[in-house]
Amino acid sequence: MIEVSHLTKRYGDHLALDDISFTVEDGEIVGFLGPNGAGKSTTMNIITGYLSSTDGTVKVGGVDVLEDPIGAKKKIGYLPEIPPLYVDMTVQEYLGLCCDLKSVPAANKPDTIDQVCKLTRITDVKKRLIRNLSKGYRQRVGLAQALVGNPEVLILDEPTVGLDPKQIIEVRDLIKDLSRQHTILLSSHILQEVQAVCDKLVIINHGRIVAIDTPENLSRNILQVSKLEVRIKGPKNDILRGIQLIEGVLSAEIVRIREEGTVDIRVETDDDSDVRGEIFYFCSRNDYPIYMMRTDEINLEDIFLQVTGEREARRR
Amino acid sequence: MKAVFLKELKSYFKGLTGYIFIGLMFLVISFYYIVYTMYYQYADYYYVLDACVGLIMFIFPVLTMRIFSEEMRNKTDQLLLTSPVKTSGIVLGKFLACECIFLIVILLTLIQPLVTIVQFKGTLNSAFTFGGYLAFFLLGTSFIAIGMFISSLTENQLVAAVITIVVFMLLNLTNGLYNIFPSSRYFSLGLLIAGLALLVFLIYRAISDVIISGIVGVVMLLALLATFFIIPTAFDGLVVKIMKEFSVFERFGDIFTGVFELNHVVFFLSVIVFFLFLTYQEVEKKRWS
Repeated sequence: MIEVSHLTKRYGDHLALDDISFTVEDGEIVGFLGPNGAGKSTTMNIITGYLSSTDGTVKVGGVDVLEDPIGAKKKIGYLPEIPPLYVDMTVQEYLGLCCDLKSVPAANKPDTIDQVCKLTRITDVKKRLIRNLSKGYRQRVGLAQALVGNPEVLILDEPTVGLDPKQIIEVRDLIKDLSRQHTILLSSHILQEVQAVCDKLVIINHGRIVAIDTPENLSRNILQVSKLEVRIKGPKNDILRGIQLIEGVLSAEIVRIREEGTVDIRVETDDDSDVRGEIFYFCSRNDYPIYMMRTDEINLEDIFLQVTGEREARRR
Repeated sequence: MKAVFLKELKSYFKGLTGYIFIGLMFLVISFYYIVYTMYYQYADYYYVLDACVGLIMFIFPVLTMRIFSEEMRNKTDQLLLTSPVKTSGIVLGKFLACECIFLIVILLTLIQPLVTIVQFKGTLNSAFTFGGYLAFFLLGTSFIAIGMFISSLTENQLVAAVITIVVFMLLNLTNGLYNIFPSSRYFSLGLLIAGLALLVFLIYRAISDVIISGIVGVVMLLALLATFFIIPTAFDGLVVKIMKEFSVFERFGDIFTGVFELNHVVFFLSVIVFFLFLTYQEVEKKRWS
């Protein structure tokens, strides 16, 4: 549905995008992942025709964005990073304007507006001025705007930014619902957020694609056991000394004491060894019950390190 | 285009902008109407329109400063430019909405000559009055086109307004200014070369290519020098001539005083189309930079 090939964007001397290529198939949800300033928004702005590329082509539903911009734009619903809202309009007026811009026939306008309001749950604020809406509602009005005209492709730039946890879950569910009828490309800088909904992840850093894979594969590759946190009941100094003596452990330190009589210890090991079993047997031998053991949360930096590191290793 | 036009038109009356513009315009015109027609009892209504131009050029920026600046600041241009609407449609829609507000002002002021004729049983030279309105309309429309272009250059409404006022004042000044310029051919040549340098710089800004803009500059400079040595007389008083050609207000005055020539009308229309085109280019250019 979306074909991006060899996309390059230069701002003067600064290379914002460097030879980006990926495709999004029909009905797929693709997560576009990268730290701030990696080029996510730039790529999305190019796909939607807001910016033009220095080099490379973008096709949406087989239509080249440069050759037939109007035709391509008709297929796209776009929620930019900052929702483009006219704050002196009411939600209803604003969505009416979007209908006109996307040439929704006048007869279908009220239905369209009702439908997108219901989907994004903004029906109760329909008559209010956008100026007076909270950030969460504004974000949803922006999302409603993207849905007007029922476009085949939805491009959502950080759709959950600024929402509270409950709203984030709502939006996530909404996106899942929408994916039945739409092809979706959404960006984020938080891994957990896109992991839950996406079929495929495109990871980008410094304007370059670092990895394209399914979330399962990616997290399997980077399963991390070299940083552990354990909570064990028992005398803290004995436990600490015991863990430090386990083979493969580089360092162990007490982080905090959360529960009476227990101790939280952070354990770091070298990359190859898995000491979880050893810790268990050590505790079991000494009758120290383990209350908790977890690996550090996988974050984007780890993925970058992992993926880029692997590449360099292969090169060698 | 229709969607953008209607949205713009409504937006003028959502805030105070539309009311302020119409109110101020009507206030200034009415003031001169009372002074000229009622107090001094001039029989020619176009005096009123002529006299108020010096003041209303400060009012036009109220209307034009926000056209693109506000959209860029609020990032709402992203909605327009990613919708299936042509850029030319956006520019024209916005321009026509502005034009509509201006027409409302003109319609409102029509009451004044009508009152003069009907209520006070006065007489008005209808040809002069019509000519005055035509000139007023063309000048105002040019102001809108120029102001809109300036608004597309900056995100800051205040900056747009100040630049617009400065440009209008310079245009107004050229009217009396050109007589003090020397008519020597060397002065003309120097000024043309300076103009050429500016043009080359603008070309370089637009395409960011040193070689091409350099070649264009050198070729044009050679052409200019060649002309200067072959027919030097063409350069006598050239600056004055050019400035006269481009003096918006001079032509405006001509139409008023009954010198109705088609080339004046064509001149104003060209100014309008030229600035609409520039605005279109500026909006498009943003995508490429």
